[in-house]
Amino acid sequence: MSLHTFGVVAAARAIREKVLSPVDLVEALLKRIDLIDGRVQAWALVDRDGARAAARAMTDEAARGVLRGPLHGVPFGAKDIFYSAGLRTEAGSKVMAGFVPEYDATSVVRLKSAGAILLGKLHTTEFATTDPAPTRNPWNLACTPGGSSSGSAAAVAARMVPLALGTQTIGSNVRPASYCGLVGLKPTFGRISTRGVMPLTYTQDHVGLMARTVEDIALSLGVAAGHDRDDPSSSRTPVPDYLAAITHRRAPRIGVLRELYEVATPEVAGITGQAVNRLARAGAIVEETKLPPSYRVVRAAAHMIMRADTASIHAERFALKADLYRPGIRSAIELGMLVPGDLYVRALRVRGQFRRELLPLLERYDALLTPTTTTPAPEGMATGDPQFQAPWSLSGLPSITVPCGLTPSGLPLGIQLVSGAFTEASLLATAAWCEDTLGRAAAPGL
Amino acid sequence: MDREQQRAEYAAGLRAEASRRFGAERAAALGPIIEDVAGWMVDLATFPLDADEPPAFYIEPAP
Repeated sequence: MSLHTFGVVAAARAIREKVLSPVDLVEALLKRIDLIDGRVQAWALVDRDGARAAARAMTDEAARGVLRGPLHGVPFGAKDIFYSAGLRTEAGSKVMAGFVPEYDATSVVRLKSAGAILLGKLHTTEFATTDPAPTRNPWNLACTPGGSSSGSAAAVAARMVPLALGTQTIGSNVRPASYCGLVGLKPTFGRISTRGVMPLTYTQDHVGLMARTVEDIALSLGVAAGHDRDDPSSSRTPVPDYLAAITHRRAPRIGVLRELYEVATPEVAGITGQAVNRLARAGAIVEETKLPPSYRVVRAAAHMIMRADTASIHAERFALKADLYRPGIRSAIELGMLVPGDLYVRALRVRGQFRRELLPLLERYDALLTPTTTTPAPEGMATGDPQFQAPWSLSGLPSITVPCGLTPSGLPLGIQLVSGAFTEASLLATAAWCEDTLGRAAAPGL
Repeated sequence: MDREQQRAEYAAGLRAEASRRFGAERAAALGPIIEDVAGWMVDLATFPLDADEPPAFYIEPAP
């Protein structure tokens, strides 16, 4: 087994059992980056010295039987909007050129405290909005990896790192994960602290995780999740043992949101339909169900909240440096300054009504199922359509994508599963059952 | 007022305000996005929200 192909759980186990050293693993990944990142362009910064130093320390400790936590010696990457002490964090923007934070984002702290090694920073669209990163999709370099967590998705898919932190305000974690054949989780709002993550909104930003298996996500979520007193949106809900939870796999009851198939291309609808049929044949109880009436204004609400919040968050910087902002985010900020207050509050009220109207559906099923994306990864630089993620970003409910097949042209597709607030344990168990049934995505042929 | 008329009014208001705050050149550059935002404004303004629905910020499980 080539060392760069180790996933999170496999690497952690091998290190724990002293059959793999963090030094060898980090060197293998740095070699992999040297080999292919010139084409993929996932990394904004590779912290070779820092990763090597951490790997040496982890290797020495592991040899003595000392493990810092469940991710001891496992490398990860962080989207370049996560603060990383002493490392440039530029958010894909000239506005932030040369910015070096003095502290780590809480999620980075939590992963490092569990023994994980920060390998570097991953490209993002500018400030996690729409102006694209240079990153290409490892499955087809002519295609976008999606965004805004472009580098996170591409790096994990291309086996340059087993785990990455991304973020999602509308569709920026789950969508790129799907375009790149990964498992991507956007947990419940407040489940993972957003402190030290450059914000876009106050009530829709989520830290997400990308890896290659549900098991890898379960282990990583258990580390990253938890209350942070320095983040006012952080939840005090206890963190269960997600890895234990996914050992309890059973055929789930799934509510299929058929109306979204009609928005997807026939190719996506067809492959998703085949996947659903396979789940049903394997024992899942599959029923068609409908989204509540407020769904039709969810997209408007999510975008209005994002634009107004982004305008507020960037107001001081924008007043000084408007010309340094690229066209997409510049326009978003300017339009955000014009959003009427009464409609902003209506958007917040839509969120509440949508959540409330969803409750009967969420109680009836283990998960709701949609295609993850309307299309496979599009060609070019534009990062694709986030409309199947927007409802769950607005409502704050957890969603996860699991690979479900390849198009005839060889691009991965996924199914998106959604469940109630703070039910990640059962959502991950459902996702793991689906993964068992549908199989894992192969590696892209780089 | 029908939907298209309301959307056109919102768009005209946004264009005027954009021109006043950011200048005519930027207002012109914002043109296509103004059309999108005006559509969202109509969606939100006309959706039949429950009268007692409060704004929702953070999320916590039911006690």
